[in-house]
Amino acid sequence: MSPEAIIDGLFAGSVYALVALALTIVFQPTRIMNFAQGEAVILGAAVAYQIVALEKLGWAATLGITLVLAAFMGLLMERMIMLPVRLSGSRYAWIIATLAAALIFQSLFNLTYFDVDALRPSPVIDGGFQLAGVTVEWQEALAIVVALAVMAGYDLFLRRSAYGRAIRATAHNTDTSVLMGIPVQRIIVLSFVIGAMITAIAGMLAAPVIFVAPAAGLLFTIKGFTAAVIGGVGSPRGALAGGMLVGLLDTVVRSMVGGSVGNFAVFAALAVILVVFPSGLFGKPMEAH
Amino acid sequence: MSALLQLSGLTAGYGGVRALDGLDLHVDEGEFVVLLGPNGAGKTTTMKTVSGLLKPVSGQVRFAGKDLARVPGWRRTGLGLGHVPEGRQIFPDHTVLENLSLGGFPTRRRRGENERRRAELLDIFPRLAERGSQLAGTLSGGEAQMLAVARALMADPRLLMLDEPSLGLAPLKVAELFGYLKRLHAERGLTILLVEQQAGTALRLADRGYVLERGRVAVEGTAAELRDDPRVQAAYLGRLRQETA
Amino acid sequence: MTTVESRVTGAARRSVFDSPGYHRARTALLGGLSVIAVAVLVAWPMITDYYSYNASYYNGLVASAAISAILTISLNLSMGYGGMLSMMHSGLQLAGGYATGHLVVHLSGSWLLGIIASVVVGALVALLVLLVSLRAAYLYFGMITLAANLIVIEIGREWEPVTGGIVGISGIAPGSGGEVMSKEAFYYVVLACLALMYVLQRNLVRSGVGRASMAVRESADTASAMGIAPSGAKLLLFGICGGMAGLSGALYALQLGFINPDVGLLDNGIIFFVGLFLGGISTLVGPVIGVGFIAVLVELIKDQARYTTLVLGLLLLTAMMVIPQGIVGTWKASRFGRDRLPELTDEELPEEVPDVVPEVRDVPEGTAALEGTGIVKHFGGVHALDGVDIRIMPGTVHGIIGPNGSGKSTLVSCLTRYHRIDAGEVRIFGAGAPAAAHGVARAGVTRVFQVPHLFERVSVLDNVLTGMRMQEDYSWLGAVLRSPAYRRRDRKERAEARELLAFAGLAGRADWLASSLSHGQKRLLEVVRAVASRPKVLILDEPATGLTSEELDALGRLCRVLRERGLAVVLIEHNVDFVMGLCDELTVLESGKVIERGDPEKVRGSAAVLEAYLGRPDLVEEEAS
Repeated sequence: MSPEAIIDGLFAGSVYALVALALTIVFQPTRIMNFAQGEAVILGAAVAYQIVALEKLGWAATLGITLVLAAFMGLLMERMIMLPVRLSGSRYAWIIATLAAALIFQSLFNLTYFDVDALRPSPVIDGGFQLAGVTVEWQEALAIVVALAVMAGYDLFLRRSAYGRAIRATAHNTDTSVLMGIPVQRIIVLSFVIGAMITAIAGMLAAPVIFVAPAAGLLFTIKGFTAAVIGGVGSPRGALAGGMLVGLLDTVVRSMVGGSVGNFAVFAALAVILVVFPSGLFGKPMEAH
Repeated sequence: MSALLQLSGLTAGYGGVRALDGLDLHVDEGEFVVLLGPNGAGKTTTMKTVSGLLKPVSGQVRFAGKDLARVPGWRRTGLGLGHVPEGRQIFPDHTVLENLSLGGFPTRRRRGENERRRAELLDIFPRLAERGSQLAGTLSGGEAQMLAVARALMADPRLLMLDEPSLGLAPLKVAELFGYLKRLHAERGLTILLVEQQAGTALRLADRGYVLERGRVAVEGTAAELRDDPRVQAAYLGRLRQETA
Repeated sequence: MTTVESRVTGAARRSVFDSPGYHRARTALLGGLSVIAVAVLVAWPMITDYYSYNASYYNGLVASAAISAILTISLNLSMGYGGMLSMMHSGLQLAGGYATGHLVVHLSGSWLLGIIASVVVGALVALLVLLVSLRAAYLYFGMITLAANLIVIEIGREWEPVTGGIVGISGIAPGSGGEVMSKEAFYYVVLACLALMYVLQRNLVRSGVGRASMAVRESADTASAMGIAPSGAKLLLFGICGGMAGLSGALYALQLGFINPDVGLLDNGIIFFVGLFLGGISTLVGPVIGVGFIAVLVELIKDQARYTTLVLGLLLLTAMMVIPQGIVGTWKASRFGRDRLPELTDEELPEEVPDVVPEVRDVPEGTAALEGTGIVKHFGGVHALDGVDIRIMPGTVHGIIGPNGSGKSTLVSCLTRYHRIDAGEVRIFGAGAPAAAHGVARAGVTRVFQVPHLFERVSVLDNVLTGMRMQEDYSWLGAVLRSPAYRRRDRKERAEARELLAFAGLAGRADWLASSLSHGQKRLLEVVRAVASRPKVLILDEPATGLTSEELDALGRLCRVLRERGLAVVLIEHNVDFVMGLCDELTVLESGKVIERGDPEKVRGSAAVLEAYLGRPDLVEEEAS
């Protein structure tokens, strides 16, 4: 096992952690596990690929466009998922709606980039640096720092701002939140938007290093979900810990055994954790529907 | 005289069960009104319909002269409707102070005002001040109920509705809580609508009362009238039947 | 699709769609359509041979759709009837495909052997996954199946000697010993399998096995109260689903000639979800119709094949909003398709008590039917029950009353083993109570819950039949094959259930959907269903809430009959008039303690009870002054 594998793991872990965070942000007020969440990863990667690799514009433009498009995607997802869920009333409505949304976005990406294997732009900062004898790519370092910053920022937002408090309240009990005068519908829209933006940033940062195929959204959702379950749904810190664990497990096992055994290890870990600790390793149980 | 809260012909229910069946009642400004009745009579449903958690099938809810049919639940708080729900429903993972801040959620008002109001309420409920930075989930039942009341008062309601605040509290705690309610009513002129199972206790506090049965008003009158009305006791302990089976 | 023949000739309804004539015409029409559909499917190879140069393509199309339909039926059984969110069905199909592929290609075995192996492998994988996740709640179960699905795929990618790795296994053909069956003949094999699986689904769903699964789906607690062991019912159903999915995997491999890990991807599995929800979940023909619909659609847009996923996704979202119950479900709920029968005018209540109503005799003098001593229960630090003693004698109606939150429902849950008690003892007719809730039910103590748990989407009659699950002795295989023993038992049960319904005044509504009953009728039906399980002790938690006075009378009459028959009836109730008029004995709880017990007169006169209900006004005055 090389030290590089650990850096790779931390990098992948920060991507998964961001997806996990987004999943829990959407889950808390809606009690919906959004299977379409990973599609925002593809959106981020696709914008980066389009702007940086094809249009040769800078990363600043990429960031701006990604955030705007992701916000729009979040709005769209909220409509596509919450409207059928409210109208349907079936206990399976959420899974069908989120899967359908995932299907739609996935096919849109597939149609746009049907001749692209991997959405791979050049890195934000080329090259790397030496840290205690280990080569670290700047892109990886950047992703890890951004992930940490986003986590810390969201954590602060949840704890310190009035809206953050309201979001936590809504996660606990929507009816009582309404009695407080909290516009729960708006909070739900907001959480879809924030979730999509965070996930898109993850995709943007991941694209130069990780293999991001146009159809890989569901895989990112599942890895992010694994991270969320390991960390316990609810807190940015849990998402961070879960994401890092998943990333490390994935890359370290892969570098030791090779091939797709890394995936196997991750999914086996997910199964074992769900069976043995039905409430995750750190957090509270994710209440079922 | 125009009522602060006026319900007319209110019908509501859950699924096929009709919990309210043409309910008429009103609460005037500055009154202390108590809603009595056995379980399933529709007391909680009344409150939920007033605060917008439940859509009525038919009938009207007017508050301060305004028809609330098209006002979503979360806006009603801003209009001056405070609701302390059944079972307190404090946010256990928020601190006591955060719970209070949530009560004044529409923070459109100037920043300082919420803080001033919070300080004022902490004066009234000194026990909450001691526990300010504690997680609300760690409070005892009585303290949690105080918090729920104080939280509703943060939004400076014109009408405070309380749903069985005495539930699960020891008698002395109930007395303390009702003492606060009485003071809020007497000293600040707060209008109160109280749902209570402990009829005798509640009627000592209230000006007026209604006894609900099967989603309708069965008996209404001033507190003194109701206290002497055998039908109130009968609602809880059954009518004295001639033919005992 | 079957329609219940109109047995009741009541007053004609306004709508022509409720008339018996329309029902007969509809039955004939739908029956005719089904016959035509089956005939077309059977004659399909001939038709394509005659009309098309590309017959094998069109045959393959229908065969593939039929294979998908088998998998969707399996998904329907697990999700629709069992309430188990399975995201591993494509993985089960993959596992089944591997079994056949490995056996046929690597071991040169017969394809029939391959199919059997696939069924076994599918069932085993499903059972294994369910066994480790029995404790998991609904959402988590879904996620575990998702992880299991991914694991199956990864195993497929890595275990090259058996699965052929990423490339998979190819050259799988339905042959044995060199002879290979023609594609056309295999078409009929697939069709026969689909027919078999459909019949299996139908027979299972209509038998006690299916009813037990549906009971667990609606509420594991209610199922336990009827003596059904939730884990057992789940294992049985999911095992059958696994076997079916394995079969569809075997057919898939044999039909297409190859199997590779991509088959198991959730992306491919989504099509089964679409088919199921489009056709109508929890309906018998829904999966078949849904899959057929999609097959036709995909064929129509095959020139624009790259838009297929997009179209399917949009279709699914639209369908959820427009026809949330799917094609079949929406049809059945519409005025054209509903089974609703005309309401009876007035029903004579039979004077005589039918024999089905259980009887309890020969209980030794002084033995309590249900007895709890020193029961203590904490929730966190709260003493919900603090040393409660209660004795319920056979042949009495026993009321448990007390203010909100005094621990009434908790006490019942402790007596029936839904809650583990912290101290104390529970005895049923003198013997120690079993440890599991369904064990208590089997010992003769049945409860009806505060929140109605009816099975809304099946008929009133089926609801009552579910209550009889405890007496059913046939196996699931017997039910599927409709063995003579099963038929006898089933006939007897149906007759008994109708008698019971007639006694409760619900005879005219036996074939209605339970969801179409009024609230009061639903509560009454729940009691009837509990009686059908032949209890010795019947516990009713707030049965009178929301009942009209006629319905109250019916309920009271039923309780009195049960008392005369020697049963012990326990009532938790707030409607004091009802309680006082009916009960022989009362136990009054307050803050988890018994504050009074005795006959209604004594309780009504008790100062402690008065205070518990009406509060202590004196305290307020002191504090506030």
